[in-house]
Amino acid sequence: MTFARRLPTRLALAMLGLLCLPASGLAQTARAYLSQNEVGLSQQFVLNVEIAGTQQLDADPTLPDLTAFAAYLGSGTSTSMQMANGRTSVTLTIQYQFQATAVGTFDIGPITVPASGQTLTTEPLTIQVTNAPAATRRSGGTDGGVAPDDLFITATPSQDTVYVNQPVTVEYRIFTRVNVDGYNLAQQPSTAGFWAEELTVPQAGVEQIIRNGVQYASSVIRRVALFPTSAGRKTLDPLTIEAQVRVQRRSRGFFDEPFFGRGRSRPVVVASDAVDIDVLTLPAGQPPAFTGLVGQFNVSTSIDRTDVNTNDALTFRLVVTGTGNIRTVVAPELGFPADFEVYPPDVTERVEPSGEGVRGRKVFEYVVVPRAPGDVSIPPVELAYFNPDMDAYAVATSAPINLRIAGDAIDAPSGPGARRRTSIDAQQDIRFIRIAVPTFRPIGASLFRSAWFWTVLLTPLLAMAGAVVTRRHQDRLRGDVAYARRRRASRVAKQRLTKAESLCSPEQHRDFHAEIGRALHGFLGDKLNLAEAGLVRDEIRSHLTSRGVANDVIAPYLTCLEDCDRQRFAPTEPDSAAMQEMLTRAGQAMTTLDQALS
Amino acid sequence: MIARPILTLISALCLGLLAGGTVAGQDAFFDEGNQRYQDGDFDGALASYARILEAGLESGDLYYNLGNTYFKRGEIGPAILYYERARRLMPGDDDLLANLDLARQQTADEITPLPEFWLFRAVRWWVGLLGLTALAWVVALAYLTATTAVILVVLTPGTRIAMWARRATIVAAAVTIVFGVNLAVRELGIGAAQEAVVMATEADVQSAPSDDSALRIFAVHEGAKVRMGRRSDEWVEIVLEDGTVGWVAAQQLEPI
Repeated sequence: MTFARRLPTRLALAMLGLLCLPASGLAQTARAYLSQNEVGLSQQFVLNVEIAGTQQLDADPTLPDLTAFAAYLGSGTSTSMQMANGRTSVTLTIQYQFQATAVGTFDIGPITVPASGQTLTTEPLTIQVTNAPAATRRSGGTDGGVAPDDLFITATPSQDTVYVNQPVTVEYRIFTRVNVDGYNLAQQPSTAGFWAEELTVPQAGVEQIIRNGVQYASSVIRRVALFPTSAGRKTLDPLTIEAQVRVQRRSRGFFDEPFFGRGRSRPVVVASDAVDIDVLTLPAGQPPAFTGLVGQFNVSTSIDRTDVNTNDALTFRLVVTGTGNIRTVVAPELGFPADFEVYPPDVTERVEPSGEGVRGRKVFEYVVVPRAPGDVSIPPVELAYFNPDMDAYAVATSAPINLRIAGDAIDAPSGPGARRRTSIDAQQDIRFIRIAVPTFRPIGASLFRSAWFWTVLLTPLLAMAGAVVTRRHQDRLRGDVAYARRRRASRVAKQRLTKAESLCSPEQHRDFHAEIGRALHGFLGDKLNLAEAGLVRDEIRSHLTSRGVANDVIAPYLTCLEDCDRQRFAPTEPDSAAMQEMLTRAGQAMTTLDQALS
Repeated sequence: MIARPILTLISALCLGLLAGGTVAGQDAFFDEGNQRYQDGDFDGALASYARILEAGLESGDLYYNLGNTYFKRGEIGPAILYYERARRLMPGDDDLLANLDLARQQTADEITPLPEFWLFRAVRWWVGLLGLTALAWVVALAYLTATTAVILVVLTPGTRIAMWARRATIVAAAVTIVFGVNLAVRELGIGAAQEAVVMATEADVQSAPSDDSALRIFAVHEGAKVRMGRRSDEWVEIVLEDGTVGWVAAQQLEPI
């Protein structure tokens, strides 16, 4: 927040009063002050004598003898008139200009001023004359010749020691002896540990204040009420402002007057001191309903009607007024009868941040609906607080309210939203957690990366492919003779060999060899889809050769076939070993042929 | 040969089962977290639930419980974040929607969502109709039914079985396609914008990706859900549910 406020110059305040108003009824006072409390040797200083309440003197003031350390240079008179709060105050100031001539600390005795038939006396003053070089002002820094005494800020707490939640008002004032065109709040002090309420600054403007015997133009720049939120020693940070100070041309004599000082403005940063505040914990013995309010409070209740029917909506107002942390007031417990429906209150608060403390009022407006007839009483509302002025707890109480309710009892709430408060509260909580242990899955897992997914996707595809292959095979067996014969060649040959094996005895050797011959012939016929009957040796050879079967495969087969034919018609009976060997040879011949053909 | 792919499949299946099995005793942590939650020890509950997440596992119920725990701790931002994460896994869950609604009421911003085109709303409803597990089961069963029926049609031509199997194929294939698209949309995140929840108590929304206070448009508060757009260094373009657009520092957001 930055704001700038014009601070009128001293000159504007020291305007000449043209009206000569009677100063009747106003006490006349006189005071004296110096332009500087400390001057360099052979430097000039001004002794001011200010008489309030008059514009005319009966005689010139009588000055003490200052010749021991100062030489009189001349004097001037100015009159000023100020209007504040509807009252006019008039001041006459006589300025005596001196030059310091001796080093040391000197007392300036009381000055007597005869005015309006009285003799006024000022307080004595002290001046220190130093050996400082005549050309330099005593300066604390490099801020364009603005000494710390010329421009500073004070922070004044209303109290050093407060209770928790008891407000302490801190007033920040600017004091200046130089011309200040305006200022900005450079740094708002942090209010950690406090709840702050800015107070309005009265528009009275600039006052002339004598501080340490020196006259300053002074103005309140900030006033804040601070409510400490916890106990302990708290430190308020300094408030820092950046003031625009008019720098005057350095010249002597007549042009040294501020009126002619047409210098440039330059920024000067000044800060207040830090302020320590001790915060006490609230004493023991808190009432049960105490919620931390500190100050002075009143509570009152009202209701818009006292004669109603059931189901009529009533407006119940609870008003809390007082001084203190009014914003933190929470709705006190209300003892409404059980068959009243009470809706959450409408809360308004108004805080007046003026004056010393924080005053305000907070209004809770409840809509209540009685559901049952009868004479009922809304009990008093109690608000407990701590009164720091009395150092004791107190309870504010409102008056009870009596109601007469006519009509029939209404059981069910009417319409939606008119549920009982308790059930509304129940609605406000979240639903309970899940207790059953769920199935966890890896974070970021995708279905498409899981083995399950691919298994379920691919297995049926494979099964379908298998089904299609099976179906095609069946179809071919049914429609393609060559295919069917080829597919069953091995099986048929094997059956024949098995049959031959059962005939493997010398007595049945003719049948045995006939069977083997059939197996060999049949196998070849099936494989090549040829008629078995017409297969002669050369035909077999040419068929097989044309299919790219090697001669060393064909030869054993044909030999086997020939041996079979020969044995069939041979006069001698072969022994069973030879027959067994025949069987093996036939099997082998067929196996090699099968491999060569496939 | 046919035997090799089958073997590969079976071993893959076993691996899949292993991956889904108990790795870090997460069931025990879940129970422990629930117990602590019921005892009111919300910090402890958080620690227990967090160990499951650290083990690299998640579940809708776990996120839901985490959301509840943060809610009980009064941390509305994380609560909404975890409810939203749970919603990705179980979009139609009644308890979840109720709690999310309650948590949203506690946020500082009142953002009125833009009215949505009815078709988008219908699609969203349809996509979120079934939980992920249920959806996967429906698709799997329909697919198996369809393929089994196809096999029957192929192997028993001309029989009554084949006639019924043909009808079953059509129905099951239709179910597979409809729910399969649904599943694919969900699993691949098609059309799902990347969303985030505001974690900072108050986040300044700038009109450009810059800290300049002159570019500040407004502020969003903890718990507000935003859609994330372009990125520029540490800045993310966000779109509020009411359509307002601005840039926010990325560390003030947490993606859902």
